[in-house]
Amino acid sequence: MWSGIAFRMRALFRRKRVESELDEELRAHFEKQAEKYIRAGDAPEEARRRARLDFGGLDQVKEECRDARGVSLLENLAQDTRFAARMLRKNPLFTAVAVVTLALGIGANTAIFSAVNTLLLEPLPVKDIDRIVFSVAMREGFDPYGSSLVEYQAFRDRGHSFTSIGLALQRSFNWLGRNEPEILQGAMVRADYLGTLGVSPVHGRDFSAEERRPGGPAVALIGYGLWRREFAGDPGAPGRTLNLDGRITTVVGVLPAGFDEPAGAQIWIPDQRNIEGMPLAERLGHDHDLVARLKPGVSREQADRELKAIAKELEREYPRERTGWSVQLIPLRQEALGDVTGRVEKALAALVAAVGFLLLICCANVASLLLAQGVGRERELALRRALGAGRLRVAGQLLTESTLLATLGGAAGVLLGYAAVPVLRALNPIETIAFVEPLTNMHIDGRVLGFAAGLTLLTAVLCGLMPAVKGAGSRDLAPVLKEGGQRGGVASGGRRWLAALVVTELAVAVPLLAGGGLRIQSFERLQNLELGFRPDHLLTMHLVLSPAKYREFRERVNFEKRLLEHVKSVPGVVSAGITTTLPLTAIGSTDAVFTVEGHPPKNPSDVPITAHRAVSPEYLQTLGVALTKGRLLDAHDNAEGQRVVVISEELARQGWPGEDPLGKRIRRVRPGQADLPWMTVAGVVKDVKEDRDNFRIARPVWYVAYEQTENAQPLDLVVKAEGDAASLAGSVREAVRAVDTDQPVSRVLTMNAHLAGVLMTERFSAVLMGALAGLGLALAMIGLYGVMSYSVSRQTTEMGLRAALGATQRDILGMVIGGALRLAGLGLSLGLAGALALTRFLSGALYRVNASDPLTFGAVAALLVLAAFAACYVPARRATRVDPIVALRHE
Amino acid sequence: MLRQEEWYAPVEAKGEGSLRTSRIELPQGTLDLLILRTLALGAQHGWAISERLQQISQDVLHIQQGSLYPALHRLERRGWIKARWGASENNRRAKYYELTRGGRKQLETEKDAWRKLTAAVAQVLETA
Repeated sequence: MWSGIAFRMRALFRRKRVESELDEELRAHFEKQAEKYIRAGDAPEEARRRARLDFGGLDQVKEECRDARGVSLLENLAQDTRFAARMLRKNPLFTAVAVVTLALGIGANTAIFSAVNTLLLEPLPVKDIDRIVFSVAMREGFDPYGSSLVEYQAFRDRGHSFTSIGLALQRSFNWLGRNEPEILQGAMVRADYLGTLGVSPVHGRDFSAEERRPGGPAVALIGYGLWRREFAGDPGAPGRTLNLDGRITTVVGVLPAGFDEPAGAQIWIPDQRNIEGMPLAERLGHDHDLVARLKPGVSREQADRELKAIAKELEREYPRERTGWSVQLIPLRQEALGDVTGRVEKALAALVAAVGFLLLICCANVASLLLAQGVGRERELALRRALGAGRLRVAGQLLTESTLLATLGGAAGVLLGYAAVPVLRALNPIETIAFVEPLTNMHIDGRVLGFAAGLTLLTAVLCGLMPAVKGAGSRDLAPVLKEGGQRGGVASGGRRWLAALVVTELAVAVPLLAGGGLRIQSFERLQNLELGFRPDHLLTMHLVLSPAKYREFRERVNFEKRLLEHVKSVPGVVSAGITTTLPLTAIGSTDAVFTVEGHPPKNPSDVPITAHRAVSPEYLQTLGVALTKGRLLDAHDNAEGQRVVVISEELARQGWPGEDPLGKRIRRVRPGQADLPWMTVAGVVKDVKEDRDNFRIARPVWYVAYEQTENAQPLDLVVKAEGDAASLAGSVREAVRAVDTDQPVSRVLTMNAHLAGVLMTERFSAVLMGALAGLGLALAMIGLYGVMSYSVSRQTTEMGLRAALGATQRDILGMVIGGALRLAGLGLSLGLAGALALTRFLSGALYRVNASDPLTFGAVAALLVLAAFAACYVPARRATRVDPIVALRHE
Repeated sequence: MLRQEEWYAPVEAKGEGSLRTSRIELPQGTLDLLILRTLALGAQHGWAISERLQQISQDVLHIQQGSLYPALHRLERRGWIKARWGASENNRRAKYYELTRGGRKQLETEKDAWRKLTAAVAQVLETA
């Protein structure tokens, strides 16, 4: 065993020595044999000749000895690599083009994979995150909702799929007692929440049973980041206090770095409610985060089926309140990416497919380069085989060359990736909800490098296999050697390979271009999205009124009135308004179930829903909403006035089809609660895009007067500026402070910046897919031109022959171009079929563009046909001008 | 077993070494056995091994160098023989092969196997 290994090592590392020993050994044998014949009486010449005959092919014997030593594979590899390096150095232009092409392909794939790696594979500070699911309440046609206590209780008591179920209620805290009051994102968690996620404090302790009871003390767990910031990472922080909404709260522990569920929380307080004793109405609100850990062996699909069945039971038990409600389980990671509808995964899949196709085009280009280069080497390769190299050996040699190329390309591609990743990180369009740190830190790690290495190998095979098989040639060498490797039988065999490349190139380019084209069109249409309001010159900020300080709704109304007065007196402010939710906001958006007077739902399972916004009188003017009928809200719509509502056209269509809604009455239905008062329709406005995930469709919305609608929701202030809205931020902030020095504000943004955030994912995908498609188009055109012009040039002899036999230039041009276009047609049809199959998956992510948009597909096809035509016309034209005599002499 | 008279042009023989050995019609592995047996008498260099085989077999077996040297290298790889450089009869450098301990064992095993095989074949030929 050991001696065997030592033998091989010696053979490998002392190759020269072993080789010269083999030479010496064989020469000694040869001389002995010759001597023997001389002794037998032959003349020296004759003796040597006989000895040579005895020997057979010397190189052959050596090759077999190398094989017998068993290291030849590695040894050949070393030799082939040296040879390949020499070949590449000899053709610097060819090498540069091939390496740059592969670098682009591999670099793009590496960069996109680094994003996939971070978003989908990065470990998060939660135990076995893949076993944790997040429950979303669903209603057909609406943005997804949070979970209700009713659901939590039902799943907890009836479900069998989980080891534990946890519940949290997101809320924010006004952190007081410091220079600048600050809003801290946080949550109220039930005992099972952190346990379900498998998270425990790194310092201090979890909440005690005492602290979880109703009326328990004010205690909190704090996030790692807050601990570092406020307590400078002092392990003695537990026991210290924070002023949260005026309540002195004792810190009992610190949670691990990177943990910020739910929704970027930095503060967690115990849920001290007695939820079992709550009335049904309070248990129906869809405002909780429900997480669950799957039992071993239970799949997410199984659990999802079980919960859907339980939701059906709830529909039967509470038909009035629960009809139309279902649930869906998504992985916690998906929830953290803010991707309830799975758009991120789809966009990523589209990008991965796009860079994959790009790489295929790169491979086809390099393969055609290698093929073309291989032709000049037919004689060299034939000679190598004549000298004893097997077909496999020659193919191996050629594969080594493509591997070396791919390795160079891969190394350059990884460098490109290193350059691209910071750009991706800066442009990262995903609005991560939780685990913000780990999920936004795109970087190149071992996994990405491993991926790039694997891709490089794959690339080597993809672009090297065809040239290698062809280069190894047929079993029969004679024709090549005899004809000197010119335009004989091998050439006609090569044409089939070239045809295959043309078809591949086109078939791959079509889906890439179609995908990019659709994305760009969709984005263009989104940019001209009918918002229903005018976003220019608007400044927005978010305020959460402390429930401790503003206990009574009356106090909240007072604050709102004084705030608007102060803000409107700021120089440069045209008008100002308050809403409970900004248009196109993901978190905190409220809906209401309504009923129209005189139009009870035809069937009890119809539960009509509208987006619900409580707004101040001037809000709709400030937003620039277009009134179509009646009036907007005004200062008379206060607590004493008649209850009124302004509705959107879509709500008018749904509530009063074919009727004039003005003066008609509508009211909100709160399940399990006494009926709320009727509201009279005062005006109708053009549809406003209020829903975040459903902005592709028109959804009803109503605007009720803030003062007439008792609520404790956070406020969004919208200010219209005479000029630049952003420059007002400081003075408006001062106005807030003038009303309440302790009142923090957050999300200070111009409306356009807010909207840019909404369309960021779309823009990112459009720009990236468009860039990839453009790159793919350029590469495919270059590749097509290369392959086609090369293939035409190989037909020069045939063209000369035909010309000599009387064919006109026209005939010949027609023949060549016809042949090329037939190939292009085949490639295009394959590509179109593939694209149609693939773009279907994009359909959910497109806005006002059909996934099989004939215009896009037609344009892509026309572009590629044009490219193919140009690619064969120019060289064909040149070829027909060649004098037939010259062309024939080529032979 | 016949003396092999053909001479193979290298081009025709490319990469297909098995062709040659099958023409010799030495059953697979037999050459290894013969080499081991020859070396059991003492260290020898390649040429001497082929001469010796030819002599002992009274010129029936003619070993082609094309098979001999690969076989020697193969046996060396398996650790059954080892090589060292020494001076030949006429004081030239020659590569001598000798049996290792493993080689001796292997020789016994193969001799046994060979005897059993030939006895069995003979049995069949005589009785069938």
